[in-house]
Amino acid sequence: MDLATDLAATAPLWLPMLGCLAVLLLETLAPGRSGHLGALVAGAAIALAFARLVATAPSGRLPFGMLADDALGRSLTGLLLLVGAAVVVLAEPLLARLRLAHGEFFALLLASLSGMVLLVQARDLMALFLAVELLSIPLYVLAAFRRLSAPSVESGFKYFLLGAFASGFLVYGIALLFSTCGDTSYAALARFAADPARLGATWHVGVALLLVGLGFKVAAAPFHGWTPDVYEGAPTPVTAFMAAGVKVAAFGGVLRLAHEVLPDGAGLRAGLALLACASMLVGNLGALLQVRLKRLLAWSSIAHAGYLLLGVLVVVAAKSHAGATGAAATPLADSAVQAVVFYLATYALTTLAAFGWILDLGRESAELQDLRALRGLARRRPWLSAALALCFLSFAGVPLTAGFLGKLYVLKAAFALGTELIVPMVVLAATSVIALGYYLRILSTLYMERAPDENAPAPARLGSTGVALLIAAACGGVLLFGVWPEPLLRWLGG
Amino acid sequence: MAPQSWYLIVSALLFGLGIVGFVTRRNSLVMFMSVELMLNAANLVFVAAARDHVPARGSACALFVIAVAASEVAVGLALVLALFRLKKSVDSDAVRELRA
Amino acid sequence: MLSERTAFLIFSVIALIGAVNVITRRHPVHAALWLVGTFLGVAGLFLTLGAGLLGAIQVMVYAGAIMVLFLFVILLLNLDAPPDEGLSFARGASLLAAVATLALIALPLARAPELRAAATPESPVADASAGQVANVLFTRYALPFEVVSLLLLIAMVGAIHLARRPRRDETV
Repeated sequence: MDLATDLAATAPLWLPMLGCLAVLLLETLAPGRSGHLGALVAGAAIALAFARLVATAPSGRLPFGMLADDALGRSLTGLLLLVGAAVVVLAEPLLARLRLAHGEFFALLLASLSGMVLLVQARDLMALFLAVELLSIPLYVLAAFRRLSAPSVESGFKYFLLGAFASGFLVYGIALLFSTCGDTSYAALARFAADPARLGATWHVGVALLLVGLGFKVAAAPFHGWTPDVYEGAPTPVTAFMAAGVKVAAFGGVLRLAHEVLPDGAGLRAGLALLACASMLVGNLGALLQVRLKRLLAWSSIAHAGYLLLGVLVVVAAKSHAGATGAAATPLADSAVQAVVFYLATYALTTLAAFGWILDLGRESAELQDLRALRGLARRRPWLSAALALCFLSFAGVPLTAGFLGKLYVLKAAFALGTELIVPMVVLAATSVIALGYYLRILSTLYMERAPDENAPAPARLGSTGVALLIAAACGGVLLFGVWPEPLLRWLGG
Repeated sequence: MAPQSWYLIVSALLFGLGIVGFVTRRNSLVMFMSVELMLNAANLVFVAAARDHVPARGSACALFVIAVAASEVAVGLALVLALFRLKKSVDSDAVRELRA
Repeated sequence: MLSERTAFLIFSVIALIGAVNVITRRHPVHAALWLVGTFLGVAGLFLTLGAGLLGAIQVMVYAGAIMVLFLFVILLLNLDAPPDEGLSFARGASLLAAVATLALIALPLARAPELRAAATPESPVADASAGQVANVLFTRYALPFEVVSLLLLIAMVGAIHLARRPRRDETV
């Protein structure tokens, strides 16, 4: 227990926390003017954290007795820091325009970000619980940050009410797991679970409640009810943070639990398969019916949670594949973990580009979000339309985009287990076709239809260079990693 | 001395009442109180279960849950206030600005 | 001197009656007052379990601070008599779903062999004294302890942002 080494290894966790405090201090020192400064400090804290992350190698130690300093934690931490930086870039111009440039926004953002980082590194149920709360509670406030706008406040309120309900399930599940072995560390739980004879009802109910609690956070069906309303009402940069950041962080937590603690079992498999299939079906069918852009992305994020849950299922199932084929199981589970992480990276990238696009075209108001407002946009805003088209092609999983490879790797990991998971795999294939349907519908709106009034001025843009650069970079990444994924794979693999 | 299972049964009942309260009530303040019931149920499990292991560990976990509950209450009630300012109601059904 | 079992029965009856009333009272103020009963009952249960520190904190933080905040907000909003909360179809369905969930949780738990086994008979129980809890908090759980401090701070900042009066130049 050497404090200095632990602190050195966990700089990406505490630097955002420190940044949060710095932003709050700035707010008291320079009240009213801290908005831009806050963005700068937040960006600097995230950049420093990222630099520390890249400069050091994973030690495999257990900092503070309950964190992970391994390849999985580091690659997801890096991803989260990039998402956080992108959200700072997205939020700054919008807040300035709304005259809401308070430093608190960035303090809340950094606190939530440090909760996310904690979640992907947690190796203890108590750390997991507090991480979930540290990421959620600031996010409730961020969703309602426009506190005079009814949709924004409603969004935060709904998110809070269902989030608090979910945290009840989460903490009761943790308490039940604690009651089995009197400890909360993953190592102790895994030791306890190693003997299947000891796993009684308390354990299984505990795991089930834990997954329900986390299922709310990743917006998996049937715990998705809040998603469309909350995504639509929250300010767009916050929605981007929810969609990209929370998904990465919560799946990081689930992935580690599945990899290190949860033993394979028929019940767990059935539960995960059910969640995965329900999410894919509900998400894609729901998206078919949407006429507004943000709601459509919300439903599609539910569907993506389903695809990712299939990856988690593969991680769990690969463990007992060990029994059949001996030592081959660990690499199988590891490759499944890597597939999920790659999927998360491509999903985060595409999501940031898509929400950046919504923000750039000033689509904060509900009328402009109507899909009909996109008719014939390709003629007037060719580059932006191409960017949106690329995002949707990647979401749909069309070849030559990163989204395709994400789906491919998850399917490949599932195929390695033979026909054990054939049902969710078939559902994935079938729902991908549905998804292609509504994504192509949007493309035809963009490219084939004509605007009702050809002479009307093209919709005004937000006019922020940062946002435009971000969209360009994210789209470039989607294309680049779609044809040449090796650099990303190598980085994510540690 | 009362067996541990008695405590777990009481806690399961509290948890169940919390769920029932959350899904059947419309007043958001009461829904929120139901969540507090669920958190209390979890704390009871922590402390009762820890009695057979390391008692202080259960108390420590329950303390964290209490702290989290306190911060949830602070933010939650502020959200209720902000909503009431706009809607003059705390009914969860009054939240209908966002619909498909 | 009460036996531990009697104390357990009394406190759990208090806690459960309070909980039932929380979810059935129509007026939120009444619900909040019954919730205080539940909190006190649970605090009593903590005491019978030998967790005196936690019992005291439960009374101070939950029954004291949190409930006062609840009541304060309810009174601040000055709600009129609440409309009748009839059991509509949707509510009936969700009630059924809740009961089914409860059954799914409770039934396997009730059949669990580890629960049916009699409690460790009169084993000498180490109390969770303030010193021992502090020992765990500041060694094993030092990191969560620090995280909680940030959580409380940021919750306070968030609550202030949401609840304070709008600035004059602030627009929707």
